[in-house]
Amino acid sequence: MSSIVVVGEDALCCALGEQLVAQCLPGWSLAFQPINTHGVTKLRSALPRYHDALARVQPVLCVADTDHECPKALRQSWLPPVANPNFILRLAVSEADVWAIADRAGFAKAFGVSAALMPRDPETLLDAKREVLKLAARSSKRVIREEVIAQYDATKPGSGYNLHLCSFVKSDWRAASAAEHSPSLARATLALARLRESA
Amino acid sequence: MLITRLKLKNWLNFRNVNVPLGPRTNLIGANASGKSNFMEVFRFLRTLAQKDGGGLQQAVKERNGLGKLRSLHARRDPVLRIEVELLDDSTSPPTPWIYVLALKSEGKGQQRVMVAEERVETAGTTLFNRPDKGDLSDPERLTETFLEQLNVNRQYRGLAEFFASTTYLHLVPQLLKHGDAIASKTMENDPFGQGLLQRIAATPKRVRDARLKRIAKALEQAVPLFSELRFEQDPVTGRWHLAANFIHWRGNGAWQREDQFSDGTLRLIGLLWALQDGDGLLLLEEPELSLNSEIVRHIPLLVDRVLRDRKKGSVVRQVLVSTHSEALLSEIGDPSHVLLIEPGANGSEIRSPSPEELLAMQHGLNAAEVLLPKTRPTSLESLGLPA
Repeated sequence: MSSIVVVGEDALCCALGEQLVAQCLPGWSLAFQPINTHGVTKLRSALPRYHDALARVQPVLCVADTDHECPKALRQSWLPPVANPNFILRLAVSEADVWAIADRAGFAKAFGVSAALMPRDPETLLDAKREVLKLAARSSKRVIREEVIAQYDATKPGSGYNLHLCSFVKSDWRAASAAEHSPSLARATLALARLRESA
Repeated sequence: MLITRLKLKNWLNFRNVNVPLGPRTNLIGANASGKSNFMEVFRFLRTLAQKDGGGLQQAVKERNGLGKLRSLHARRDPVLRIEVELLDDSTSPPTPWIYVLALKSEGKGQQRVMVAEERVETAGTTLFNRPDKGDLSDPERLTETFLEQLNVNRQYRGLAEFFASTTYLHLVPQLLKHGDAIASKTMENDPFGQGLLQRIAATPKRVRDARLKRIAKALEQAVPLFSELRFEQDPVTGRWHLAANFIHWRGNGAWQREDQFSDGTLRLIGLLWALQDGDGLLLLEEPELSLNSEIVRHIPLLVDRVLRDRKKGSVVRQVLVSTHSEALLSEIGDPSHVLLIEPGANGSEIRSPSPEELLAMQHGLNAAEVLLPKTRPTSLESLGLPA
């Protein structure tokens, strides 16, 4: 059985990476718990270690946000011109939150909102976090309304934002249906399919 | 009530402070930069307003005199000044309050501490402004604040009660575990948690059970193999003890008393109890100590959950946390209420994030990446390695 390492810039990226492996690479397992670098700054500084060293012995899936920058340009500045094919860097346009809400039916159900409210083209959103907050505000579940949104400022994520988003991704998120609404996620699933064939 | 802004002049190692405070504020800074000194203001105001053994003279005496409180960087300016802006959210619309207190030394005789200025304002009306005529004819009155005097503070007693209800927690597990052996004195208001068990015992049973149930619920998620929490009296000594059950190969699990708990478990219990005990401002000193970073990451949510569970009406409990923890800061959803202390030759400066820092934090970076590096001592590379 093949195994892979997941690296993410935050807890949500790690959860998404873990689910991508589980859903797109059947039969594969995680070499160990996903590595959460807690921020893009540390991810970038650690990237050579993952790319030059770890990826030689084991496939690595690295998930990060583009934060509204051009994903191609970011890739070029982050990785050497000839990248190790074992190192799969996938950048969520424009944030990992987009990949989560791209699964419209799954998110609507888990967060207790009407599917009709879900954005059709989440990658074009200027602020995906704010969209999640707007959706959470209309949730039928009290715990979502109270913890995803900051108690004192409805425009800010609350202390349970990451927890609820991650637990949705871990339990109900479907990569295949999310890929229909997020081209960057669709490309990520294709890249994993290629890895599976080449292995 | 919520404290919305704090202004200080010549307070300990701060010459000038003017910062906003939110319902949840995180305080960061290098060692010895003044995090605890900043929190000390609220503890000082608590002693000042306390009905039982409080008052201005006591508050200053406990801190070894005005000379120790006044900033060393103050140079010629003799006056120490505290200005607190508050918002009473129990009224609709919320009522703004301002409390100003300036202190100076008597300058002769016993060198008592004297009130140089004291003022209370609410919604634009000044309730009093000292020194007034009475003070000028009888300067002895200036050794006491109006805030501490029940016979004059009726209109602003809520303010005094709010200051007096501040809780400070910096639980030192060893003091609790080895309390008998150390036989140490418990300080006023028990800042280090030695008297936690006595306080739990003094709580009415129904309230206590409800609180312990919430604590047990949180511990279940945080402490592996933890299954049950009990509060019981030793039949021989009559002392109260916390007992926790851990899942074990024996059918009934293994019961442990607080002296066998891990430091982290005890600190977590102390934190969870303090959250539920009282309504005033809660000061938490480095809650991340002894805790696994995955648990630290969830402290903000834990605080919100426990406070929400016990929320009565619209009372919001304000929490001020001092921390060095990257894990805690990387989880903060609203970084605008982080306060950063930067030491300098003229005392420490304290500030909110700058517009550029806020912008970076709105675009992909977190508070641990943007703000925490600014609290690192610059000469750290040479720590213990003289050239």
